Amino acid sequence: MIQRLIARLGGTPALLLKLLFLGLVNGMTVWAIPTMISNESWLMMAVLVIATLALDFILLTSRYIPAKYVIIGAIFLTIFQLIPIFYNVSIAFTNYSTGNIGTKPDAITAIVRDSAAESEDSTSYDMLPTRNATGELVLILTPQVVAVEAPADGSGTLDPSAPSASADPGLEEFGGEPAASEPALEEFGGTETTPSAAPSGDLTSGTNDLNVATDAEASDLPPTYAGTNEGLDELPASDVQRDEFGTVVSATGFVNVPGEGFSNLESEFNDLAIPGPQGGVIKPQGYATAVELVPTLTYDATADTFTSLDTGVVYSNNGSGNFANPDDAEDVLVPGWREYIGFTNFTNVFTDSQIRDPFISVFIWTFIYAILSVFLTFVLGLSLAIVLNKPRMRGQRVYRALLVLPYAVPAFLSILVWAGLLNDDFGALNSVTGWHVPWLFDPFWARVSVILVNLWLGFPYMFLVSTGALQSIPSELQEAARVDGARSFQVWRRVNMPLLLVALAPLLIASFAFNFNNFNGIYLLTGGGPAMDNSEVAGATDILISYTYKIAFSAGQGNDYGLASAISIYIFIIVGTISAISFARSRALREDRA
Amino acid sequence: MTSPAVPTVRVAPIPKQRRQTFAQWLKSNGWRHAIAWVAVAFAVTPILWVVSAAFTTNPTISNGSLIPSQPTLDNFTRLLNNPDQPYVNWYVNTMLLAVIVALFTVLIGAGAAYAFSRFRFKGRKVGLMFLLLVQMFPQFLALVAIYLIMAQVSDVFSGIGLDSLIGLGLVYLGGAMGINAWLIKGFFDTIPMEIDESAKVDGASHGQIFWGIILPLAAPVLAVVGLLSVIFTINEFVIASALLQSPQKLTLAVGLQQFIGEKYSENWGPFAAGALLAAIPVVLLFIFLQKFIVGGLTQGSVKG
Repeated sequence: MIQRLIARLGGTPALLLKLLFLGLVNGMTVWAIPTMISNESWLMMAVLVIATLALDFILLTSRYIPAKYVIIGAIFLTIFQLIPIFYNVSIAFTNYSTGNIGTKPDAITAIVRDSAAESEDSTSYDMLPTRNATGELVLILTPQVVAVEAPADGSGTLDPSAPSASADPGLEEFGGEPAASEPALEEFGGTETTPSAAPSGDLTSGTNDLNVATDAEASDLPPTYAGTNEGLDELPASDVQRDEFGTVVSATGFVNVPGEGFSNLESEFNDLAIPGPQGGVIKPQGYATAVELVPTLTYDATADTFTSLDTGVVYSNNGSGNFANPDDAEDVLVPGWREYIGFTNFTNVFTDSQIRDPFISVFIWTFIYAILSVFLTFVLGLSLAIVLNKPRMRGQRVYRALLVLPYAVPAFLSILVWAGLLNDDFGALNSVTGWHVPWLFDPFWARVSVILVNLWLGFPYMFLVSTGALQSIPSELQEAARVDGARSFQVWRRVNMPLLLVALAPLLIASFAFNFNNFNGIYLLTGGGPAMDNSEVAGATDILISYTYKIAFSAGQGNDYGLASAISIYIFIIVGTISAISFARSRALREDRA
Repeated sequence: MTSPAVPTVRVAPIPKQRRQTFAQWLKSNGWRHAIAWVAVAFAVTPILWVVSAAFTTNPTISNGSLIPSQPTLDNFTRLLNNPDQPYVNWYVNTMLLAVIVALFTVLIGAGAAYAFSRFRFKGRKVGLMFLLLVQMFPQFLALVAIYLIMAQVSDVFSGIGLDSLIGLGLVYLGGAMGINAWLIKGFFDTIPMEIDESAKVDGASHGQIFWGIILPLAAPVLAVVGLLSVIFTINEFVIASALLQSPQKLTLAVGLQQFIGEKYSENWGPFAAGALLAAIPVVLLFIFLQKFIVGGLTQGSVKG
């Protein structure tokens, strides 16, 4: 009946469905083009347009009928498997990592901004957080007149339209728009790309208040400004209300942020970077004062160097994505930028002892783990299959059903459960047996644990396939061997085992390849831990894939996408080679049999 | 099977037959039962432990016994009513994602298998080898690249990039064609071409043959591929944990891992309840389709 229904659908409705689908795809592509142009995502646009055109062409014409059945799968394969592979390879040749996320101009902007510091002649301001008519945060800023020093000195230079002569003109260009670089950095998905420049929550600097001259006469009062990211805007004196000490308490046209709302201002303060008259940025310090921070590094575009105003050190482009002190390679300015660095990531695995030592331990353990996992699960699974492979044995079906249960439960659940059972403080295994084995926290026992859990997870599969293979061995062969005088052991050794191995060898190889990259089996149980002495990233049970994951995503010392990609290519080469050899050999075996 | 006919007790009880002594029984089958019992205990104890913990109020992992003395549903209410850990969302997310991805995986795999099995075209052999080769580079090895690509997709299509279940599903479909096309093609090859040809004579189009004849005939292998896909999606942790962020959008694997991680003593009871609820449909599906799976596993090995 279903067949008839489908056959009937073969006409107009199917055509309509197809056109609807194509309409949707084309519509989405066309809709996305303006965004992609403005984002400059050229590669993505090319992929999307080509995919859409190919889809249209193949589904609407009848020139390539087989292609109609492959095209959708091929598009998914291309976008989410092939392109990632190529992209991965290209990342492996870059220094892409925490601190080297964005483009070079972004990095220069960020270095200038981050170098901003309070200098001796920085102007401090009394600050009043308010909101304007549109709800935007505006800081009402009044330069502090320091009583001890000569008064009114600072206020003379406070004209926003005339930057002070001491500031490098080039600074304005970079220091002036730090906010603009933020979205560009986020685009690359980096987490915690740049350290925050100013500790905005630092209330201790508010003690400056005490120095404010309270006895200033009205005529000497410094001007008051409305500060936004656009700059400082001087307010007419008549719009500013002051208390008896001369402190500004409100301004016409602006609503004070109530005191209880201050704690919510943190993130808005972080986004705020008011271009100041000294060429720096005015940042809030606490809730009542702000100070202009002046960059301590200047960029020279023609020489492509940074010069430190404090120490005079000239930092030059080191060719691998950072400005570095030529006399001290460790002294680099952060952030850097993404740069192609050739085979450095690949060779570092062998030459940089900080990477090499943990890599070698992880590499060896990966092989031990994969081989032991396959061997133990196979031995246990096959033994049980043999034991239960007795005709007319009572309870056979029940045994089989129960033995397969660990395979039926989703593995991630079982692993998380095992992590609980093996917990050394309150895990069931220790408390029931009375042992005090540090199952997950001692390097040796953690390795025993991951193997044990993997045995539990994997033996039912081996049991299933071994049972299947055993039952498919023709009994004539065994009988013929017996008639020829073979003992049962000989029958096993000479008849059953070779046949079994031929049938199961590809599965054993596949199982090896699976366990070689058995991320869940390690990461969900031990997280790769416990930590090893020689590495901040790798743990005693880490296999290559979990090690790679931690390098890329969760290492305490930052994310190194470039190195992670390079190691993933090594993994591919290892697994690919092993698979290819065994594929060829199992083929030879099979032809041998035939 | 072909052993000489031995009258069994059940079929034809012969009064004179000696009862087996215990030693004889031990020698013939008893030891098998003994080993089977030990193996079953190894296989089942952890599962029983979780089931028991799920029905015990405030079980510390240790004090739980295999049979809870006072079974309660406390853990389930605690699990389902905790707004910080939206278990229901995770559950629905995971199951919907798994089923939808499986459906598309089956269609994509079957489509490719149909093309490679029934048509002869330029690049067919190369295409088949290529699929096998690509499969050797597991998708999650390119995790960094996938993450960065999805970050860019987010900027254009905000709904299907990072932190999106649809986006995650699309990524999974990238791996749909490779090995599945091979597995299904192996089955399609066993369906005689004569069936297609007679349908063609009757005026059926290639589409009608695919949807109306081949797919229904291949139901067993499609079920296997679908089930394997469901299991894959439910178990997948790496890509999901890298792409998904908001608590209500997580899958069970990522959500439960965060839920239980580092807080084993505190959350053990609700976690056990959650694990039980998550495992039940999969175990049932597995038991239901077990015959197909075992067949598919060995067949895949021979064909692959």
